Amino acid sequence: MSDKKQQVILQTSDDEQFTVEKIVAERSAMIKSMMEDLGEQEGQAIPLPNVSSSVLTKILEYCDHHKNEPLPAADSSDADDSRRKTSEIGEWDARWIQVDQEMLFEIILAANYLDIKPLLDVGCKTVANMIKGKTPEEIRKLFNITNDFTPEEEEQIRKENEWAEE
Amino acid sequence: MNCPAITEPSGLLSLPQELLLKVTSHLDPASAVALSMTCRSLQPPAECRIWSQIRITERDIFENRSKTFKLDYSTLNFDDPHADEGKDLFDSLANTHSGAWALKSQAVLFHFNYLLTRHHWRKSCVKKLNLELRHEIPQELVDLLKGLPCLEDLELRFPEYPSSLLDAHCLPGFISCLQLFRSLENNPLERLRNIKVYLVYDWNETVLSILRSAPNLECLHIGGQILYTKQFKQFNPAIDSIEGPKSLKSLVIDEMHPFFVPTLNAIVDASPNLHKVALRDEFFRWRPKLDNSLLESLSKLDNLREMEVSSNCFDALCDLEGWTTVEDLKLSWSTVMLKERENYGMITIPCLIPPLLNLQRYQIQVSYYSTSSHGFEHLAEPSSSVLATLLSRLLMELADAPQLRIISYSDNPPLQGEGEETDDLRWEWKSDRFQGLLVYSYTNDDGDELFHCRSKFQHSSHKLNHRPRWMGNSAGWKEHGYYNGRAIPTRVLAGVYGATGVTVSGNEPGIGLHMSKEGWDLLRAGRGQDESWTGAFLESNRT
Repeated sequence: MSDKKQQVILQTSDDEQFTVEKIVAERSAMIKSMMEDLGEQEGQAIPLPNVSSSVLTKILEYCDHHKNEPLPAADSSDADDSRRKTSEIGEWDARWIQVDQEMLFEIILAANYLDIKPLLDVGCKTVANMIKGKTPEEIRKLFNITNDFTPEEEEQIRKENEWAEE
Repeated sequence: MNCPAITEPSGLLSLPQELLLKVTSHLDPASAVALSMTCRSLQPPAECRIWSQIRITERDIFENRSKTFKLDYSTLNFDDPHADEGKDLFDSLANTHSGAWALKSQAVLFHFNYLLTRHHWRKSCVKKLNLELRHEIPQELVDLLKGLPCLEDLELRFPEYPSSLLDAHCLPGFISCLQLFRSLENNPLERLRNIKVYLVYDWNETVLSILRSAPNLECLHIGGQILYTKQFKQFNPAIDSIEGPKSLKSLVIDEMHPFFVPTLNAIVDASPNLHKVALRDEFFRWRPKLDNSLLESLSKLDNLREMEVSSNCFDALCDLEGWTTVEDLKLSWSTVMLKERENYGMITIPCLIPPLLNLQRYQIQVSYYSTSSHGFEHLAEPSSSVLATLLSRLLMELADAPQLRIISYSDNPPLQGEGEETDDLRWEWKSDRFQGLLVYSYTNDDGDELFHCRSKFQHSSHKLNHRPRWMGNSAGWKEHGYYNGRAIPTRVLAGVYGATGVTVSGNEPGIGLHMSKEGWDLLRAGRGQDESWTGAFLESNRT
């Protein structure tokens, strides 16, 4: 185990293979546990049927940048909560996630599938920031949402929820 | 039918529900409301953000503010068909009469429940419910609570004293706290983790009932004052053992009273996982003897990390075996007891620091009030003398608390109603307002120790004006160095830091810190000139 840089092969949905450093791949809790299950099988590619090569390229960029940070403890929902509430998106992360919407949502889905909690957080926060401060109509336009409420229904929802405004 | 999009949903709508919930958890309430109005499939996740935390306060009930609960009386299920006629009278009474106030709180609950039932997902969104009520609780709250499957957090605040001092005087349709929890016992709230409740009546019975109705409770916080002596007669100490909540981690009592001891003792015995126990006792009502069974049970707990008690428990902390896991301790000292310590401290060991093996942080909270034969007594500004006493015998005091690194001192009387802030023991030694001592202890393989203590006292600005100049600058850090138990002058300490490049400002205090060889060499070299050190020390003291 003295190899300085152990490598892992990842195979995307469009059958491309990526050879990456183990420490980078381990950002994904899913890949990490898969590697543990598979053991040390040389040259065995880990299939990622839910991730395309373009999304994986992008995500590996993120994983590489954060590879030396401590991994979040598994299922520490409390710590997770406080971190989510307090910290803003880091500077590098904010720049990195400036992508088009399609890519953004694919990143979020992939982060969820690969179980990369900090990345999922960054993605969800980015979407939340896009929503913040907008009117319903502006939100619909932004995300291309069709309004399926009648004006009366819409008004009713506003009335029922408005007390929550602090 | 509600899906106008023929193609597969893309973008935001493509996210599964759990991820949408993650997104909305980052929203502010106003943005969540806007999102809930965009389309049918986004309404549930957006509303989950809105309904996850509900806070209904006195203001919602009193002011009927347009922004908050708009009471829509037409939607209420009052049996009386003439409810509308009574509305004016009702409104005019509501601001003056506590009974009418109670009725109004009932109406708010009605309305709240009505809103919850409007959409099936809303009830399972509610995780945190914070209600400010009078001691009369609308009966409806029982069913409301039973209908919230995901409720984790419940706070019942009673901002005023009960409107009626007469026992068994309750408006029809209203119940007491005890009745509320008794009604929940048969269908316990499995998900409930935190309860904060104010109790005035039926203390012991209600606490036991709470534990039965929330079997997985983790934090129990009980506020409220026991003002009415007549209920002491009803006190029933026959509690042998209880079906303990094994899950209980935190137990906080805002105002300790001797009559609580048997109940608390039963809880502590049944809760092996207790992590934090606070028995606050600002008025020093509880004077436990050394063989107090509650303190004995506490001392034996295996997981107790945080403790908060009054100085009446000091002897028990010193003499009872146990307390081995306690890391954080907050003691509220009575000024009388502090004066005693200062006057006779030299013969009692320990004087101010209880000998707890793992104690890391210790807060001395001085209560200005102490009961004496003349009632409340007020003693001014004991601060500098307490810390000075502590400093003068620091190494002796610390000998039996080898892990202690932060001693904070506070002489602000705790403010009532700021419960949130006092909930945690705070160790904000970086704050400007910090007063106390910080310990940085460096050791090496040869068993040498450099012990560096920083102290800071403060005086509020109005006092500062009257302070004679010779008392010096009170707000800065003062440095105290000891090498292998011997005082060293500050300049040597500064030299060591200069030689090693180590700095303390902004660094976490600690025990067993590392220091490079240059520092130890300097100290060893200096040891040969012991006398010149002493000379320098005396000199620096003189100036």
